[in-house]
Amino acid sequence: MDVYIKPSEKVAENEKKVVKLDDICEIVAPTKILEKLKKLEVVRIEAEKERNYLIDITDIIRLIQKVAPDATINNVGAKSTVIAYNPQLKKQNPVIKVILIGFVSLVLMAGSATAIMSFHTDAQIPQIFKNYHRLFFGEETEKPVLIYVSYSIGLASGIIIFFNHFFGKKIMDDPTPIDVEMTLYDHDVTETIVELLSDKDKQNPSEKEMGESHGLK
Amino acid sequence: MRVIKTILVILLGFGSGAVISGAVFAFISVLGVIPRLAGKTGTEKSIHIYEQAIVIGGVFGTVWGFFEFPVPIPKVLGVVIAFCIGIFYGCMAVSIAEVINVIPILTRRMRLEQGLFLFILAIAIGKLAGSLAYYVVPGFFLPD
Repeated sequence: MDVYIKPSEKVAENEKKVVKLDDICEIVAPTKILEKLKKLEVVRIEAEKERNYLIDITDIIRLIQKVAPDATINNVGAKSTVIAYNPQLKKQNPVIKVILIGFVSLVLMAGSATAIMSFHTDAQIPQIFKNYHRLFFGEETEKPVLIYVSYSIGLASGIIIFFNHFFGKKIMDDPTPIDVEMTLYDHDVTETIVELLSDKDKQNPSEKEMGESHGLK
Repeated sequence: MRVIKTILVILLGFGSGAVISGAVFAFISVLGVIPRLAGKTGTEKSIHIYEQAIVIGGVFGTVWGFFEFPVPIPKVLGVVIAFCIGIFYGCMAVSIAEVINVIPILTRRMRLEQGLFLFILAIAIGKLAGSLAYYVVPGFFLPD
């Protein structure tokens, strides 16, 4: 009898108190035991506070072996699952959210404006453009407007192509570079949480609870 | 002749802009400031708004940097924007240090396992002191 499980790397929970096997992994098994496996209790959340729980693949195997001792268990997913329990998650105020988004947008807007200007100064772009103007037209000018305008248009189209969308409309179906960065970042954070929690597990193996969140989200 | 030259200059400007924007904004996004800010504020679902903000900021910075047209804003808003620029540059400076693993290498070489929090605080205070010295102390860097 073959059982295939595919645990997720990270699961966010905000209301369920009892996390079942079905919540953290996908299970493929013969129908007669599938329902039983899905209802297996992985962890019971007791404290009503933000905390990360680490479920190792060995914990899951042990659980399954209890109800199906003769099953061959094949793991096709992650080796450990982080259950991020955060009771505040569902309560986040939409007004605060809008304010936060506005604030971060302002930070990024002001910051990238300054960054591009400081790059121009650093790289002496205005001087280069003046030189271009002299080379092409043989006359000195303080403001080579033509090249400024075409450069600005080029810059705008460059950023839009780079970020792959224009006011909510995606140019191609690919994820944008920020999507990629966000995924990488989430992945790194999850990996770090797993490392920190399993270190703590090794230090006090008797402790049933799977460690504090270390202030990470 | 003048027409051909004009077309060439326009092409030159357009190409420079397209390539430079790719480089500068790839740099900003590789440093991971955006995912971090989005992650810390719990607004991961809105990162497309943040991309839009960067596009607008970048284009505005370029156009304004060249033409320096007046932008009448109240002083308070100016202070807020300066504060935001500070946050962005603070994130970026620490990100650059992080990319080349300054803190992990230092702590490893010195065999320190605790006090990471103090190092980060020290970096923040150092940046604050440096920035104040740069702008406030006459003759330190800027001419008085």
